[in-house]
Amino acid sequence: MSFIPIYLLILGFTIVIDFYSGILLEGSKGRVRKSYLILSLIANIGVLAVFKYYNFLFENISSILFSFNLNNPLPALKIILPIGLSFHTFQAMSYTIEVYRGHQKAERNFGIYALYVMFYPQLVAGPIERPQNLIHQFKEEHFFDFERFKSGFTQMAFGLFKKVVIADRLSMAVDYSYANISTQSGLSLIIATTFYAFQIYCDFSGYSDMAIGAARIMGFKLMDNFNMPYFSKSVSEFWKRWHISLSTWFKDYLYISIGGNRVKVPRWIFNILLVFTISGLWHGANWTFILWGAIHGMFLVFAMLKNSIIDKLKLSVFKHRYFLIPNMLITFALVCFAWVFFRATSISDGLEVIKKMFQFSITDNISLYFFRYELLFCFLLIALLMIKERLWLHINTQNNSYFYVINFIILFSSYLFGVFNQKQFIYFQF
Amino acid sequence: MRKFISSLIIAICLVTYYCSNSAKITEKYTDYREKRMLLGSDKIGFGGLYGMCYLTDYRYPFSYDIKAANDTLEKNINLYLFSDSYLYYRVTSKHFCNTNKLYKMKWFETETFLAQETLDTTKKNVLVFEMTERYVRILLDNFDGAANMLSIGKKAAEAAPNNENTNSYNLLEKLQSPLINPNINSNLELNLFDYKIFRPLKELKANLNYYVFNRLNDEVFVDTAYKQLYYKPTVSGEQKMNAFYPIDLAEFNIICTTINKLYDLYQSKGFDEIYLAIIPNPVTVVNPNLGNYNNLIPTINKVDTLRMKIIDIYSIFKQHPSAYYAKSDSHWNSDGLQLWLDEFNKRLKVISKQNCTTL
Repeated sequence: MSFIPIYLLILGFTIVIDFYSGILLEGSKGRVRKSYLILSLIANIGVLAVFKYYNFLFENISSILFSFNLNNPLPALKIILPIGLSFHTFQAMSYTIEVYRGHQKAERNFGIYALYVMFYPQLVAGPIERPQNLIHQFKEEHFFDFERFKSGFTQMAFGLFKKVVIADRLSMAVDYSYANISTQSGLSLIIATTFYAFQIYCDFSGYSDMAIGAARIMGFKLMDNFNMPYFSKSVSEFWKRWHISLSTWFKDYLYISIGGNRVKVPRWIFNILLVFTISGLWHGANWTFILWGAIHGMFLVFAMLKNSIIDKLKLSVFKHRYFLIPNMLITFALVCFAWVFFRATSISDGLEVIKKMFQFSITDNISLYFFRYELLFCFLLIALLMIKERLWLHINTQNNSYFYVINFIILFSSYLFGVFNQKQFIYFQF
Repeated sequence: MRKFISSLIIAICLVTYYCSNSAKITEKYTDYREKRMLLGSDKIGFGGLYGMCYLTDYRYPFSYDIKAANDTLEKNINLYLFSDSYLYYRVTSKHFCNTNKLYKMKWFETETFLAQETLDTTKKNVLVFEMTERYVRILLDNFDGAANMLSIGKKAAEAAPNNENTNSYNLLEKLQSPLINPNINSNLELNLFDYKIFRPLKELKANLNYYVFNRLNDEVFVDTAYKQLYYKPTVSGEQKMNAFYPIDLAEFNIICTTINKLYDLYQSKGFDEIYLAIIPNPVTVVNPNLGNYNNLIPTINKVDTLRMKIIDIYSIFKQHPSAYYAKSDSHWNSDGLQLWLDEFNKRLKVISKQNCTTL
């Protein structure tokens, strides 16, 4: 994954194809209209297939053929994954699909359409916007507004804090632990995996905060991408709070298109598993991501079956508020279980982690490449995150001196406690 | 007014980007700032290792102040110096006795390589291989590299490396280079944040990380006993820079053979005298008890089959271990450098005198 200027041509290619596809789609009907949509989707998915999935496919075909003592006739390609490819390709696809469905008028101004795909705050890691939400904003006149600036700036500052103070410090323990699985105790791996859950959250939501905040300062409203997902009481709720722009993309454009829940139960289960497996594949060309997606799909299927049993037996006691916190903890544990495969470099590594985690003892040695008070500091940071995450929402209800003081504290502590090891955002690789 | 402020901000951003993208401008600006009170750098002047870790307790003033050599006779020596940062950036011909011309080449940095048609036989041609202890095992692993640093002969002079031709820039890189300098991040950091005014903040962060979390820059090692900083790869880790990383007989023999091969090669090109100077790592002299010293330098100094003459500074430095190295830099201090120059100049005086007698 890298930024290589020549790769801007890929971006240019998808922009040109989708711009003209939109115009042609709008002006046609029936089969022709559908064929324009299919052509546009093939072009977009084709770019993804070549740059993101070709080598994965090549390696898997090679290993299958190797087991039959055969050579792979396909050539290996030396390709570096362009930064943010999956994000802007999906955003471009949502445009042509919406024009096809008649929810969005085809954009006739090439500059505005190009800006829709390339809008810099969310170009490399989302949120993956919808044309109905964004394109009209480019045609409006924007003026500087201090109230908007205050909330946007504070959200950006808090995003920075989440990235450099929380995510990058937790990553030191996580990286060490997952690089030395064989020497790690079960308890260490449990802590490391819990830390990873917060690392990836702070890393990605931190980026989203910066993107949304930067856009808001300029007068643009981007969709929310996270809504405190670790407070979810079920896995299905988690997916309504985690990477919202992607989960709604899959729901709107894939899940509903293949029938959603308006089908028989076996087909419904298949739809859920398919969507989540593809969602896993979207994240990366590796079996670990596919398994991660499939696990979430299975969680949802089990939850669905469990709920239907509870409803049939009328066990309403399970919906009592006393179960609120246990449900949150169980959901968090399930999500962490799946994160193991997201973080591990191979499925065998992931299985090794799981095995060790289930063999943990409270007396296990904790060795996480943390020194002195750093472990305690990390737990404090997580607690702070859970309590004060939505602080920026209230910034406009306070006076200006509150804004200055809060931002000074956030930025100064970002500098003081931040880990500046040039670690990129995790989702940049997707 | 709003437009004016917007334009000003855009202009400042563009100028900052342009300047930080240009290595030349950044270098010139850094030089310019060096003597300015307000714009001065917060790390230059306190040693490279301090500049990497910013620990208040290890901020020692650091600069070089060395004397020009006293010429005793006519300048009848041409001196060729294969060197690393211990000498390359610090010496000129005036620091060497009776030296007519000084040719400096930095180890394996192709832009400093030299090609000459012939050596000037009216002068004594002296060649010095200077290397820090931490590079000995790396440099002498690469005979071809060392052999190509200086080429003598007509063909060699004609085929002298031309930077424009030898740079393996492809078209894509050429197109990209004016837009994105690979060092833009470090240049931006230097141009925007390397000012004295930021030092208290940087030290606060560094002290907090070190004294509360025991975290330090990965390349710095703190010797609390001697209140000194070392370049970490010379103290720990499984690599050849480490003074405590064991060296076996086979590797040692390869080093000695390479030294002799280099001697034979350059002697056949017409050099009158060839010297080897291995500068000890600071930890080797100051605190060798931090591990089991592999005795690289004392062992090489004792080998009687080496044909190069050795300038042995190790045994002199050991007499006053903490006197010759900067406490916050990975190099020697002025006294260490001066001592080495004095030792070497003694040899140059003898050579110069011999040359006069011969002529």
